[in-house]
Amino acid sequence: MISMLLELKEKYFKVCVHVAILLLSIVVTIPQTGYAASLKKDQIAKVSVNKAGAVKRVYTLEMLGAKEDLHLYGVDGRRKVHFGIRNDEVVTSAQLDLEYSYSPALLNRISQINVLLNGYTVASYPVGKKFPSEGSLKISLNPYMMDEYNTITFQLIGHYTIEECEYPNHTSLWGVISKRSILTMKTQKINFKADLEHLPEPFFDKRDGSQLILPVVFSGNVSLNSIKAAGIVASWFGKYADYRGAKFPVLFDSLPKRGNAVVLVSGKTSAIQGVESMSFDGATISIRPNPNDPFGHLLFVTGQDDEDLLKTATALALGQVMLSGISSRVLSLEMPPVRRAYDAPRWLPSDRAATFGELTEQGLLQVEGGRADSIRVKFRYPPDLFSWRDAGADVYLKHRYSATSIEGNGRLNISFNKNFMKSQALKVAAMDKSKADWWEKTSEKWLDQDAFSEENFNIPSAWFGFNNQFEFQYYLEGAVGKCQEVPGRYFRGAISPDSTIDVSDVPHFTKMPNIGMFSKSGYPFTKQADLSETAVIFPDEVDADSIYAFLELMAMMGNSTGYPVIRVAVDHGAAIAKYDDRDLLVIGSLASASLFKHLSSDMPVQMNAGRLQMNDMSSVDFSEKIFFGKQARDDEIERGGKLLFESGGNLGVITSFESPWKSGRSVVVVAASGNKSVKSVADSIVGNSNLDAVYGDTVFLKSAINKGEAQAIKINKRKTTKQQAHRQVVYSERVLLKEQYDNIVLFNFSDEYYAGELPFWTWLFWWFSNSPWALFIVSLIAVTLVGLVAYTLMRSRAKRRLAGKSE
Amino acid sequence: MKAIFSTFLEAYVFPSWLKVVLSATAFFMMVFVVTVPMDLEKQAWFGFFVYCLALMLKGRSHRIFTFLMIALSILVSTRYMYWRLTESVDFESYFQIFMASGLLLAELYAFMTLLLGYFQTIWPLNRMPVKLPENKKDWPTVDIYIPSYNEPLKVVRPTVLGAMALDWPKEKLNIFVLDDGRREEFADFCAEVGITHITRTDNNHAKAGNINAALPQTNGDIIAIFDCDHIPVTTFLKLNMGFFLEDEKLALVQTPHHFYSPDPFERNLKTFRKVPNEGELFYGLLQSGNDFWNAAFFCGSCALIRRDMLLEVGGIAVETVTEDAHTALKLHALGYHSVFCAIAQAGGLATESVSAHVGQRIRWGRGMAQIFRTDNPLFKRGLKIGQRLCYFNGMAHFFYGLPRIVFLTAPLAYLFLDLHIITTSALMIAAFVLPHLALSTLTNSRLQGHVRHSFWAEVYETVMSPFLLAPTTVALINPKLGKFNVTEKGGLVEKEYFDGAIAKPLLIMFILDFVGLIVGFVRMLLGDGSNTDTLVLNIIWTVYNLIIISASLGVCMETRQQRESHRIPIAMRGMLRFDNGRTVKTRSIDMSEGGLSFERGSGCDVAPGSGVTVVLFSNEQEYVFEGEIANVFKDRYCISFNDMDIEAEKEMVGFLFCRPNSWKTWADEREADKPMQSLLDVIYKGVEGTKKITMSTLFGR
Repeated sequence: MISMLLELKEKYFKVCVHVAILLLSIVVTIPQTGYAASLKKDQIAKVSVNKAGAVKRVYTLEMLGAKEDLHLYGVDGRRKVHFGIRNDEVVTSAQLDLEYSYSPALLNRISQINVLLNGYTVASYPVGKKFPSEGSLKISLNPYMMDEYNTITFQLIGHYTIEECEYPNHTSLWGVISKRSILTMKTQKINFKADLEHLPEPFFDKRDGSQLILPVVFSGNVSLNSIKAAGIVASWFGKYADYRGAKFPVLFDSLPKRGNAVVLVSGKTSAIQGVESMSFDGATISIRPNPNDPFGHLLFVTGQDDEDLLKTATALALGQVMLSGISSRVLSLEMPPVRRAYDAPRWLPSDRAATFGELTEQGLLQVEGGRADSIRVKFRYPPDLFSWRDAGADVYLKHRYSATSIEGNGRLNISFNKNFMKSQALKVAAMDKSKADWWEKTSEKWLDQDAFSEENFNIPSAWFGFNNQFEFQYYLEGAVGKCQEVPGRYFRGAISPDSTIDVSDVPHFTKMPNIGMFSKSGYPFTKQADLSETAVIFPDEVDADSIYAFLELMAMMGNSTGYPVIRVAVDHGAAIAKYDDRDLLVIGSLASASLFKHLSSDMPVQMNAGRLQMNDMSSVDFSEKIFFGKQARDDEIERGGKLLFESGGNLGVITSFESPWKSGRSVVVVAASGNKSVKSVADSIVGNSNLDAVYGDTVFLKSAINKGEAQAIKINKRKTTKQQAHRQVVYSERVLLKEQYDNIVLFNFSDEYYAGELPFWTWLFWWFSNSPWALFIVSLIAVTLVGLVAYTLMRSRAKRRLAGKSE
Repeated sequence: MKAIFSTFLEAYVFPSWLKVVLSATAFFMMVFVVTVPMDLEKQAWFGFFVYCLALMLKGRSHRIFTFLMIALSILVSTRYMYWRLTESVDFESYFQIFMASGLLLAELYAFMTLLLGYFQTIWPLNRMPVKLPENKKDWPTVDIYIPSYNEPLKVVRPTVLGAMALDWPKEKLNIFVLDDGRREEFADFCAEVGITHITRTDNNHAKAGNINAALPQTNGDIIAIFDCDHIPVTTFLKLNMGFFLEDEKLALVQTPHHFYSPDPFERNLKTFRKVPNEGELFYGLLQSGNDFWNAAFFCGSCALIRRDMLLEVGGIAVETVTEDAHTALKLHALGYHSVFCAIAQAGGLATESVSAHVGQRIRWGRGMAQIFRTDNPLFKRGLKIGQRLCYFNGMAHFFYGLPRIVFLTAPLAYLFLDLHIITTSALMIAAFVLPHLALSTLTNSRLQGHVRHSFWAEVYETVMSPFLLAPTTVALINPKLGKFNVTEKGGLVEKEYFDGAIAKPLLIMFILDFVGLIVGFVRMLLGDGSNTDTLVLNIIWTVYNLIIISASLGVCMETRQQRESHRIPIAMRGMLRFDNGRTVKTRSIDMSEGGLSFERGSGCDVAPGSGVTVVLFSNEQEYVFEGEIANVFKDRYCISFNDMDIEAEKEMVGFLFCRPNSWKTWADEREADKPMQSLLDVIYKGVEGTKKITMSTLFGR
């Protein structure tokens, strides 16, 4: 009886918890990754928060993934945008400011534009005088209809005639929703009791498409181990933050005024203002409210000493702690084996074929309807893929689909990284049984009716980037003529998860140094996902800016690989020689003597008596150097010189060269000179897609740029009409582009070297292919040998012939 | 150092295992060099290095450097072909496939010809005559066959007289005129000079049948065959017979055909004695090269054949229209040997008009194609590999018709139709094709420079190609089709005229290429997209084609052939005894069957019409001719001979054609090949040709 009661109580309690969670987080559903991805890191919404926790978020549709204006075609045209709502916020009101236009040919009464929120029609505008063919609309969206992931659908029901029949794809049936339409949401932060179980929430919420900014608080003396611990935690958050990017403002002994933070403490007590009274008990992870902000939380990562702290951070990153409640103790840490090269979870395996199933969720591998969106398969590939001649990836593609009814009206278009590869005609169902031959009739009995195709093709390695994307688009042509059904309404197509992509034949071998590769993927450090062959070198006096840069870069690497940087080595400049067998990432001020003592002779750029100096300047032929990844033009050279001159030595510098200790190993220096901070340099690396395209070895940055932030600022200035505001956005983007251009200059100073290894024969061909003189020598030797042997043979034959013999 | 190297080279014999090791190593290295891919810049450097090396090797005289140049040329050309096949072929449409593969096949043909050419001429065997035994009893008996069908007696007379003058024991020498024309005057002439006149009742199998019909009627050990216009020098038999005595398996000795009159190319382009003609390449090099592989073949005339071996293969072959080569092929297949003695020992007349020349080549081409079909040397039993390849090359040569036309029109595909028949950038093509062309030109210039000047062969081939195309193709399909045509000789081209029938295909190609060139320039001016380099490449190619075609057109402009008998330059000391009793010691300039001219010193006036006795000395022998002064010029006397009796005619023929060194020094003054100079000459002739054709067609001049 009592047990029954207990059971009931337990059930009741569980129900209560569920209700509470429901109330707290509005609605909890299974997360779907596809949604938030439509938000890009360089389009961060303008967000403002007040002390009471009221948040105002402003998005343009472009920020929500509409790269182009949304065009609606045909009798039933639909386009969608998606947005998410943070778990620790509830929406109080939402409004859509729509800019639209539609075809003047649309008929009154029966033509309409509908707006649907999560499938429910929230607004329906019949074409007519009240709703002119061009204009703007305010639509308020009911917050109660919102989920954590939401879809707004724009639908055009268009008709141009009231006759019985019309062309469903008539050209006059169109409507446009501007990508500059704005979604404004007011939300309220919720005061809730956080639980470790939900980590990384509330510190990171995947529904939120904006950049993760999470302060890291150090207590007392900052040791190398605590920096490393912070780096591991940063990489762990970086993995989650993914495309959003993550920044970690560094605080010593003080908590942020508002919001969340990670706090690292070694020892029993901390020197942090506001939590002096707290005591800590060894290796634990705990979550507490931020005393400065009722809506903020602090993630405490603690240890008896720095070693212990490191252990806690590693355990957290590896998921080796039972996380529940507000505090969990790290019982033991079992270090996983050292990662092998190129085995990062987010990278395509390069030692075997990978199935599409392991790259993408199966649910995303199928589509419905004859005009459905593409099926996308995304993956990352080690950037040092050897891209020379016919090396490439072998793809085996298998797919099923509803056989089409009309010969030749269905196609599967295959693209890779926006490069169109091929188009395959879909099979036609045998409609007319009488025409089927005996084989078709017989086979029908045991073969199912779905069409099934498989195909092998090759992707040239030159098409690969770090981030790669397959696009498979099923496309059904409509029948021509009036009164036709919209094509393929019930069409289904699915790419088999057993399809494979195999790059195991492609060797890893690439020309270095390459700043673009580093800024895109963290290569060469990320070659080992746990950074086991990386050492990060700091100046003797580690300052907050250097740590900031370090954490941001570690987060970038965590994002690149999907694995925390648990084996990275962190040390001071003086000990650099200890890491002669590692790739080195050097962070700090260019003026720091201790940092560059052992490197200065090899560095292309350095500080000398307070002046920026380029090593062996005489060898730099400006006419041959590369700016923005192409051959320099005169004006660019001039611009480069001007930039260096105007900066007055206040520059961010990223430079890379071969390790003086071991060939094939790299050194990447992320540094600043003058009054420039290394912090902004790191921001530039992570936030600047312009750097991705470069392949120089030295980059100078005049000022850090962050397109997203700048754009948000511009939008903030918007006070006048919407159209003016739009113009302003366009203008500000242009300014930004120019600023970016004006603020970066690239050089090639260093000698090139190669990382990776080629199979012997490939290497031989590759090497000779680049060395015409060597191939000439081989030719000479071969020709001489052949000539000598042939000469002696022919000579003796000639003698025999002249002696009157046949041979 | 040089001497040490040279001694080592001559004396050292590689052990066979080392040969195998070295060859294998070199082979793999060459395969490697052929297959290594390169981008534009690197390939350009590689080509430049190779070219420099070729220039360094070019000037060195030792034969080893020939071998090195051949190897280098093969290497670079194979690299080009490999690149061409793997990187520059991309099929876009059926029409493009058709055009692109046409060019590709033409290039493959040219590549094959290049390789076979190197093989054939790797070591031209310049034989020295073998001494005959002292005892004349051991010398074999010889039957001289002079077949004739429709040639005038005037042409045959000197040949018969020359044959009679052959230095050979009279009892061992029998001369037969095989008269398929069954003409009385021939019979009379033979009776007069005391030789045998053989006829038969039919004309089956033409010359081959003629000879075969004569075989049972004669019984000499060795049969010497002379075309009715090939006059042998007196030492012909003495020089060549030694080979038979030395090698008992020897079936055939072939000697060059020397033409003392210009062929129509030489006459119309005015290159006689300056640029070697086609025959010189063949007799001056290819046959010597064939001889090295025991593959020198019978050319229908100026040759000695052992009777029993000829009978063993059933006489002269009658299945094909090139009975000579086919007979030799059969002899070789039985394991018999052949020898080519590269000393010109008989002089003859070249074809007198372009159409006749073309006709002759058509016959050769058809015949070779027939042999290729019916008795393919690649598969015929009993042949050695060298013989197979040499014969194969001899036959493959005549299939140049189509490839030549393809090369002459290929750039039009781009200029007119914008078809990319080589699907890669023009600069890339240049980087690969230039070393290939440069090396093969330089190497061939070294191998053949003394008998063939660069680029001239293209002119010869261009004239011939439209006409060779059909007969060779027909013969390939059905070897029985096509008729035998006799090569006309000894005629006159009485006035300058334009041979429209021969020129027609050339004119069409000329107009096409010319319009193509204009289209190219127009496209260039209009700024045709980004493909300027492709345009430039095709324009350059078209210009080159136009040069070759216009030089070929020049050939079709027949120039006047004034004299009935051809003057042969003879510079020899002699005396003139005039009627008035004065004697002048002077030197001869040239001579023909009708007369001769002498250098004239000052102060000796003789009126035209007065009689003169000419005394000439050669080889310590005195020749005396009676004649009269025909003309007196400032620097020369022109003398025409009086009517001669047989004895006098014999003496004249003996002096004019049959001196042992008659044909020895005629090419001495000619310069060796300089490819660039050759190109300039061809360009010059091209411009001249175009001018003449334009004048002739527009103004009827």
